[in-house]
Amino acid sequence: MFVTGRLVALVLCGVVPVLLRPAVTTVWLWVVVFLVATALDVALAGSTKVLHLERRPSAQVRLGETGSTTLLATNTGRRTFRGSLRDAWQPSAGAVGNRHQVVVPGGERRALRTTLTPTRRGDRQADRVTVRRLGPLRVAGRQRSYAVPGHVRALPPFHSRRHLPSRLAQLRQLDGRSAVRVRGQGTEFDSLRDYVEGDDVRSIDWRATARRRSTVVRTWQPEKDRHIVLVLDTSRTSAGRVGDTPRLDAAMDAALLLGALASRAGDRVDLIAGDRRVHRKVVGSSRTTLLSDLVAAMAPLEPALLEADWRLLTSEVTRLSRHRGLVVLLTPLEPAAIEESLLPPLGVLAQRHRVVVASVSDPALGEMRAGRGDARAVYDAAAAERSVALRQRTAAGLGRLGVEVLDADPEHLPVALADHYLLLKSRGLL
Amino acid sequence: MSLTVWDRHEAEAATATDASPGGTPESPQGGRSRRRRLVLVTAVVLVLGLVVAVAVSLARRGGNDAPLDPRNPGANGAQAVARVLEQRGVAVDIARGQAELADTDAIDGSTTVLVSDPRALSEETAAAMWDRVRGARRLVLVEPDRFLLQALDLAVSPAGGGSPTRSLRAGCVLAGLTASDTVTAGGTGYTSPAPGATRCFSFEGSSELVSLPASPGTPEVVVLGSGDLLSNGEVTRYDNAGVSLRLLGQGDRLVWYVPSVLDVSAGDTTPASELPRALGPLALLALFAVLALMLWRGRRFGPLVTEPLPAVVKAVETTQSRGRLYRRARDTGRAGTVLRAAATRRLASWLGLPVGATPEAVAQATAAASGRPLHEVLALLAGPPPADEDAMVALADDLSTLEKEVHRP
Repeated sequence: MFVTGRLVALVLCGVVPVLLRPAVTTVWLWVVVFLVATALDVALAGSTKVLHLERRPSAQVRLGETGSTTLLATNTGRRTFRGSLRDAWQPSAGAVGNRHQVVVPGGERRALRTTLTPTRRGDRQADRVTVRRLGPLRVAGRQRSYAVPGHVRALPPFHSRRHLPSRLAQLRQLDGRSAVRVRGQGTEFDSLRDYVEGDDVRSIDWRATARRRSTVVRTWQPEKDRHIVLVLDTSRTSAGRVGDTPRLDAAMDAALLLGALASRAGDRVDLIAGDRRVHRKVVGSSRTTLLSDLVAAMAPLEPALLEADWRLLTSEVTRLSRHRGLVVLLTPLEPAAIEESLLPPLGVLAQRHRVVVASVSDPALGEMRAGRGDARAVYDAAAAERSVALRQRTAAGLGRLGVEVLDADPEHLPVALADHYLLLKSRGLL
Repeated sequence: MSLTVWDRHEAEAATATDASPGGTPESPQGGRSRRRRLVLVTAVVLVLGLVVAVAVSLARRGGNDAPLDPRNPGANGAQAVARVLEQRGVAVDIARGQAELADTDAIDGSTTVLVSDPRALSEETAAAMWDRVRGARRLVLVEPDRFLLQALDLAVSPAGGGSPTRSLRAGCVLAGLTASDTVTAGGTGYTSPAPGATRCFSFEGSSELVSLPASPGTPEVVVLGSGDLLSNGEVTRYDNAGVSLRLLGQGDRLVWYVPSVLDVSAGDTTPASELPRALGPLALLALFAVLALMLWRGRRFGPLVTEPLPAVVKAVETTQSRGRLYRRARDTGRAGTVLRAAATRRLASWLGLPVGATPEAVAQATAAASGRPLHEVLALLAGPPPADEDAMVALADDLSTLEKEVHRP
């Protein structure tokens, strides 16, 4: 049950009879009047159950952009449904304008649209739909909530996609599609063509030249169909926030840029995300759908307050491919966590694959290191220096295993990772 | 290779639905039973409240707590004055309501009439009372309001305001009063333009007792501004007792009239107060309007939705706690060592020295690069640990300066 502002107005209308007959009994009579009116309205309002609610699936929306959800309200009764409806979502779904005034004649259907601007990545759930049905006097009515499940998937924002065009241009240079062509980039045989002045004499194919009148050179292209495995660590260390976003989100950003770049370069990209268990795997996605597959797989991931089981994750990588490939571990360079659980299985992995550890560093550490002035700031600076020293020691330890370490803040990590990939590609090290 | 996107949540959800196909997201049964329980609890609370209210009203019915009632033994009652008057041979007739006043024996020249609560009189009941007491020796009105004074056509009007002192001297002569009588102050002051009026207990131009002399067809009217002097709680103070007894005991008989609001008929349009009569009912109506407003605005449009909050951990938290540990331990030695090691490492890499270079080697290269004497640089990079916080802060500053000098050739 609920009452409307009209009830207040009705009560205040009692001023007229009270002024005409100023006695307490008049007030009590008026109380009876409006109580009867309210009771009648509630009784005559009719059930809220006649409104059949159904939710259309919502489209995925990139974090920071606006989507919508549509609720279909069908009046299964004969009388007109008059009232309002609230489509409640969890606060981070950013539902705006979710209160609808509804008038549905009997047997008809209305679509109610609510805009959603999610403020957190992942699956944002719909809560209950509350239906209010007004009585004929519109003084009061009935209210009831129904569970109408639904969700909107907020995808990772992929802020670093603005770096994609420039890296793709670099890739095309390697590929020989654009004008600049430097010999030695890539090791895979592409084609034979006539020698033109300026070509490296070392690339002349004497055997082919012998068969023909003119001199023929070999051209090369960067390797294709290499295997890249992105391992996204969702353990406790990735829950740490840099600025206002978790390290996991920054790692996702880097993974997405690398994935997009590598798929354009013709490499196969797989993803494993997990901590003590494997949460998501994207294996064998085609070039055209890779990015959307990656984004959809990453969307619901949340950092768990658990230690990562690197033995499990590396064995998953090993199961994925027996050929040598590039394994990118997106995990923060936390000395204790890495030395205890990552280093032992990493030795084996680094022998089979080329391994890169991409770590999200915190710019706040740099600010703390520069702290001077009073004892407090200097103690903090010493603590920051100690953390940095430990990280460097860990990075050096990883380096001895032949693992490349990229440690950059969230802004620069995607670019650093993409550039490292291009470097490996241009040197034919994949 | 075909695409496989494996999702643990979906996999687990699939097995969960297989296990219990009849599961529904929200059981309506649970909601209904909760609502039934709520209704039950509300009903029990209402019934209990009603029982308590009835019990309290029954318990209070035995007692009399009307102010200045002759049968009220409480501090605000006037049982003491009534009893003492009876003991002194004055017949006290208590007339509650108009009917009892009409039923009393004839009111003659030896009868004093006291109206202890004249605010309960309406225009009609006041007129009836006035007709009944015409033959009395004296009519005492306790704190009458402007409306009653006008209704009875008495040349007295309230002046408002209270006495600045705690007691007042009579300063007048009246039957039953002497000039030196002193009573508790604290009532309404009255003024009277009538020529024959006697004004007693005066302050600042108004008086707490005004007496209008008798004339043919009207009794002597005493307007008493403060009923306190009759009350059980105050009667023993100053000359209150004497003044009360002498004022009321002038005749053989005292008719103590306690007017009842129940005598006021519906057609009696004159309000019993100076405020509009509709004010009380309007206030009650306003209360209901506020209740309706609370119901309107207070009813939530569906339940609150909770947000499953993520773990919020700052990435630098461990480093900050390490800093706090250093500070709590006042470990200037360790902090100094760490800062020196970091500066040495940075200088070594800047100057192109190998990773394992000794501090002495770094100091030599630094001295050469910055142009500072070697012993000074060596003291900075490999000296004794700082003894106190000031030394540590100075060391940190010196190290930064040294690095800047090396960076700026």
